[in-house]
Amino acid sequence: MGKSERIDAGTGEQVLEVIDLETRFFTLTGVINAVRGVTFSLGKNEILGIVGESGSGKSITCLSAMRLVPTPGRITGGKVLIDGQDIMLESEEDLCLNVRGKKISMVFQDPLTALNPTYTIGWQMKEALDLHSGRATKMDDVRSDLIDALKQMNMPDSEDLLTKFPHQLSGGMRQRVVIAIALLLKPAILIADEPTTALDVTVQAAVLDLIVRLRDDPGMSVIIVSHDLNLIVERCDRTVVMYGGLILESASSEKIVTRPRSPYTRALIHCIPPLTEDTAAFNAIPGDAVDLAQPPTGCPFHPRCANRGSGCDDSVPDLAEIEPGHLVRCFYPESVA
Amino acid sequence: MNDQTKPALARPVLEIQDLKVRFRLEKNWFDRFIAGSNARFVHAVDGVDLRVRRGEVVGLVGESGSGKSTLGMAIIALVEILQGKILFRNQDITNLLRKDRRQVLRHIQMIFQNPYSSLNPAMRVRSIIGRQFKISESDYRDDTASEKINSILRDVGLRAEDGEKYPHEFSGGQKQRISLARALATNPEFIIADEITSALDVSIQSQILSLLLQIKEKTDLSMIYITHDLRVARLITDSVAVMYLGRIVEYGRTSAIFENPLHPYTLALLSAIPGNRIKNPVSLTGNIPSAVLLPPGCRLYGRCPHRMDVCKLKYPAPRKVEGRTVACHLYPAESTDDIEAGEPIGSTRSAGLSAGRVER
Amino acid sequence: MIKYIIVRLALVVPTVFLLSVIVFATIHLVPGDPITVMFGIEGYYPEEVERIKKFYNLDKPIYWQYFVWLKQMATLDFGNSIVRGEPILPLITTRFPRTIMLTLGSMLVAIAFSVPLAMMAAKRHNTVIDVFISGISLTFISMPTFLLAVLMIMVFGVYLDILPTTTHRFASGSTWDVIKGLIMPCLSAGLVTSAGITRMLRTELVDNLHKDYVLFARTKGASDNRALVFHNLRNAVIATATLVGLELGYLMSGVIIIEIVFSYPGMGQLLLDGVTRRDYPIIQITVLIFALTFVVINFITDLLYSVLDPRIRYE
Repeated sequence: MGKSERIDAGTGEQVLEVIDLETRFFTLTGVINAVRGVTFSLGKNEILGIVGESGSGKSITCLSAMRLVPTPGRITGGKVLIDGQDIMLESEEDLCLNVRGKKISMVFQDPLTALNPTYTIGWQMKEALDLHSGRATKMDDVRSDLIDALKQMNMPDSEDLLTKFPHQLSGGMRQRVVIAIALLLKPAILIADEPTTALDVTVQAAVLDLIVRLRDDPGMSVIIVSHDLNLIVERCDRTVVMYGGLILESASSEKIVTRPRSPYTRALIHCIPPLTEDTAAFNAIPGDAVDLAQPPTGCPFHPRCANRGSGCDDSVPDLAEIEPGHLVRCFYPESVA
Repeated sequence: MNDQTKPALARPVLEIQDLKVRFRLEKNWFDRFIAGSNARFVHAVDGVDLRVRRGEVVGLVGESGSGKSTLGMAIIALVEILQGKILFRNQDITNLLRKDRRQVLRHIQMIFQNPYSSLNPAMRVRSIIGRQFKISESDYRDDTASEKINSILRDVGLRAEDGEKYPHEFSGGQKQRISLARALATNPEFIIADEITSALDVSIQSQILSLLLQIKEKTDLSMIYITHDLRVARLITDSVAVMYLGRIVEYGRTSAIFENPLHPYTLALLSAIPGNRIKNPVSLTGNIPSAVLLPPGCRLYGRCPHRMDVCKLKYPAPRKVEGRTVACHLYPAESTDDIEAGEPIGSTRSAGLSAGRVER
Repeated sequence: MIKYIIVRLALVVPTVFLLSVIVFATIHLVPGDPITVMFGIEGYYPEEVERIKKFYNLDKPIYWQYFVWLKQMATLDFGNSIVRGEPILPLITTRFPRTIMLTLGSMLVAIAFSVPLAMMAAKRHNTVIDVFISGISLTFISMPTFLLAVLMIMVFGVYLDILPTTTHRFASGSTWDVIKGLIMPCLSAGLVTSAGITRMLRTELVDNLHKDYVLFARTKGASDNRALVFHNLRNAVIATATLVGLELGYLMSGVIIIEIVFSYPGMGQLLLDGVTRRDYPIIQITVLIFALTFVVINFITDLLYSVLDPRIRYE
């Protein structure tokens, strides 16, 4: 496994650095290697996309970056630097008080389940404030702040919203509330895990616009995680392609679509139904999804890979920089046509 | 529609006329008693006309709450039909007796989104498929059936040995192959596929889609393909009906609709596909209203960027524009239907895709 | 909401009517009658038997007896016990609160044990602690109430001699005596009940652990304990409330046995006494009151549900 390969956005400081992250789930039936050594970084004011199918480890990577891996999972190796500080070394209390929600926040796929059905929107917003001020504030003192936060998410009637329960809002509204809560303490980093997958298509674009706009106002770094390659490359500066707990390719979004070098990225692009008459461009990826309990030896994608050669089943190739800012984990990267 | 290239496709296998399905919001008798005369209904399908020809794949697309799944279920009598007719091979199957309905439904198979819950976990795959033979064939014999089961398993890309396994031993994509094999086992003329690839990963979805393309190529199976994914609809279907809040707003050849969407809602749906470059993208404001209290006018009124005064008052009758049917006041109406279309919702005969029926 | 309560209450009326019919019919269908029990052998003093039968209306047709009884019930005119010869109303008014006290006390014990245990098990699910707590609750679930009661009497009453084995001094004793007397009955009924609640609550809590709202609370900065209490428990309690309501009803009937074991002067004893001596009025009233309490508990649970869960409140 490649150790400590640096991936830079090219410019500026890094607000988040994940280095050789390994996360395993110790289940009764065996160990599942969900994340097998992931290294990437997030630059200031950058929007980074992580794309992958289920089992790629993309969501667990994000939870690991907040040290919130659900049991029976455990982070078994690697570092996560937020503002240069390794959060693996910090105490749980410190993380709760000073890191989660304050420096780094996260929004989830389904806004209906992300909000507690039994509390009002106002209560759930105020909780985020109270958790970091260490005391219970009075609703009257913070009401205007909360309303402002909701207004920034383009929500009309913000005053009424505070006393409403999640089930009284539509899906798009709920996701805005979730984002508003995540941003209450003005964290520098937002992780959006499939933020629009559970929303209706006509609502998706507006929510994505909202997330992307955070880069400029208030000036944040964002990670968008999705299974939808098109969505990622359309909205993100840089795209990381994951498969079987590993990063297989990482490059600027433009390069990922126009000059993909990893056979997996290329196959992924071609297995998305095209919007033209040209059905020849549509090619299925054969084979089964990777079994994380018993991943294939060598490159996790090799059993399904059209481009595999000798050695692919033997060892995992390193994530190598084949041109500046373009990293590929493959012994036989596709040539640029 | 008129521009059919293959003459063999001309005969409609399935015809739906002014179909309406509604659900009571009050689920149990107690709530109904409390609601009394204030009973509320979800107008899931609210006057839909549709026809599917032999060998044709018709896509039903729309967001959640559009009624596309309910429409599919209404065809095989899984939900109660309030009004309208369903003709299968020119036979009215709407109010068939149980026994007769079973005879007909043998030729129509439905495949559901969730393969985990639609396959009996206690049966081997071989028996799941074999049972379909027993239902559909009077001269069923175990020894000949075995070879048939193997051949069907191979058709859907599974191995003959897989027949001995139980459903839980398969991955999601393979389970959906089994669902497909089960549906094909009765040798149906018609398949209703309800979001069958939605729960699958992109790479696995691509396998099922190419399998469907093969089946489409090889057989003259007719299909209603229900999906919210417009990319999938583009790949699989010959024509597409775009649904919004229980009604079809645009209906025509898939290629025509994707190249030049006419209804603002269709345009908005296409604009929302990630990675789709569209000339004049439209984004809708607001959210989908509930299908409980429907306005008398166009259902898109509150969200439409092109709304006019007339839209608020009158539901636009479906009209023929550029070889397809569009329910929008932006396009000139055909004279006779427009008057009829002005009727408020809930009247006996409201605007379905009546224009679609005049045509031919 | 108000309409909901009114209609829900109105539904109680037919329920109660049906109950009264069943109670009345069942008792009169059971072979044997109080007079026979009173005199030992049938046919000894025919005139005396006739006179008593007449006095208690036992010679009238059964439907007539039913309506007379119903009228009496409605006017709280419970009449006299046939066997004891004393008025029933004071018997009920002194004993019913005791039984309620015992039932609620047992429920309090049940909740006091089950909530922390379930939370502990959920927090450390699939570990030794979880398995240990599961094992204990399984033991208590499969243990009959009376067995636990007898075991407790042996240990705390006889060997250690720190708690009274009976509660017959109830009426005269001081508050402290009453509390001391209640400890063992409440523990034995409550622990058995707590086992079921623990298991259900633990399952709910574990299910909720991976819910997005618990995880979202954690990303907001909530500690795992805070997320467990404020986000997880609150929702798990909603699902468990139905079970608690049902268990409360079962407790009422379970308490009958406890009362007998500890000679606790409550409704249960009264009922047993009535049954063995065919004391119709006593049986009818006690059974009816037990049934009514069950109905009321159910009603309260329903209302509680809508208080706990805003999704129901705003329907």
